[in-house]
Amino acid sequence: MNNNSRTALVLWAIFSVLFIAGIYGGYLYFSQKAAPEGEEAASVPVSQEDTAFLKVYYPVGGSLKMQERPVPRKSGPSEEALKELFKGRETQGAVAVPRGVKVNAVYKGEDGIVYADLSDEVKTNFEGSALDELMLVTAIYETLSANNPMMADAVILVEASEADSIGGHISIARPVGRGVLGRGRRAR
Amino acid sequence: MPGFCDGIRDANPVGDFRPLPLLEKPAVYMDNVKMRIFPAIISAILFLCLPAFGQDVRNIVIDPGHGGYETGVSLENTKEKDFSLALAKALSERLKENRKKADLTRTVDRHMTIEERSASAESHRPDVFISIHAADTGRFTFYISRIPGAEASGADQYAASGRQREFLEQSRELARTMADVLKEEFKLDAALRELPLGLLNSMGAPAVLIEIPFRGLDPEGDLTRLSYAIAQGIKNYEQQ
Repeated sequence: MNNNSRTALVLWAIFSVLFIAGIYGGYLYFSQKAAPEGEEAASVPVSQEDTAFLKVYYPVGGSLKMQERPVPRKSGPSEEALKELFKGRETQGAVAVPRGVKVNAVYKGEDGIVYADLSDEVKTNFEGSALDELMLVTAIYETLSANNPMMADAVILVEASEADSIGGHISIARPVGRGVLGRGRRAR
Repeated sequence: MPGFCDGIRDANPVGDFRPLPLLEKPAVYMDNVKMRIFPAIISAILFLCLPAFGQDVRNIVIDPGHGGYETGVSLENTKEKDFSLALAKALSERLKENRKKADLTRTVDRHMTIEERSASAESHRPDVFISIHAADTGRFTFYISRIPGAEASGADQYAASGRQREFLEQSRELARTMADVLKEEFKLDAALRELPLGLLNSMGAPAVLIEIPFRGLDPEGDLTRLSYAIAQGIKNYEQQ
């Protein structure tokens, strides 16, 4: 066996080993990826069943404008609807909606009262008249009520604490349905 | 005197006035039936015609809106909390010149809750309550109370907000007289709105919240004119 033949044999052996290693590696790679693919597909919203259409009331001028907004089902409908309300300033012309407000949480007590916990921006970024403030409070109440038919009344909290008012005109120290708007039901 | 008592029932419900004890007492000493009826008739006439002699306005409480971290609306360098305090102080001076007693719910730049404002105002036992605010608009807006619906004002924990109910007509009249003067003085429109404002709802006296327009007048330069016009509006209300 001359030198050329020996070199060719070595190269063929190396190539064969690399080829087999490549096939095995590819098998491992694709077999591992194939298993979680089904699980991941299940968590991505692919159908309308994962989208909720929520009623959101925007304060526009001296009245409220209702819109049905499609939102992904993540948390409860009331919380998602409130988030939509506070996104609405730019697109809806709802100037009474303050900027940068985060919905910390929305939860319902045993007495049927829904508590909406908003970030401090609802106070610090609000600039408006007494009428603007009433329209904002009404929009929050109506948005919560429309997406929570069993709601007895609503309390607006700021950073998890009871607040006196949003802008210094309308008292939110008590449930706003009965205390301000004359609309809530008697709590159970 | 023809027409002397015209419109009294509309402007001032009879229930707002107390009976006159001095005219009821003589009946004890009178045996004659006619002599009992006569003072009763006189009493009734005076009772119905008393509003024609004017409103009794001695104590005026002025509430400068906002304060502290609650700045209200801003226009260039003017903040609503500073403007309302400056106007309240100027108005207080005008009223004192008219021999009225004028008190402010706050005299410095500090935050007050609505309940604190209400308690402060009530401690002065006002005959008239004026809350001063401003808005980024071009017209005056006068707010009077709107009491929440019957279900909300029942015998429950929210009932305390309804003290204004028996003064609503007087509040409306006070707003109207002030609006007339301000419209004439500044040549701007004025609107009257009824809102469920907790501060006004809790007042046991005629109560009005005024929003002064930041657009259309100079908030600082027109302070004196504004104070004179509001004081004149209160004077006109008193003389009606």
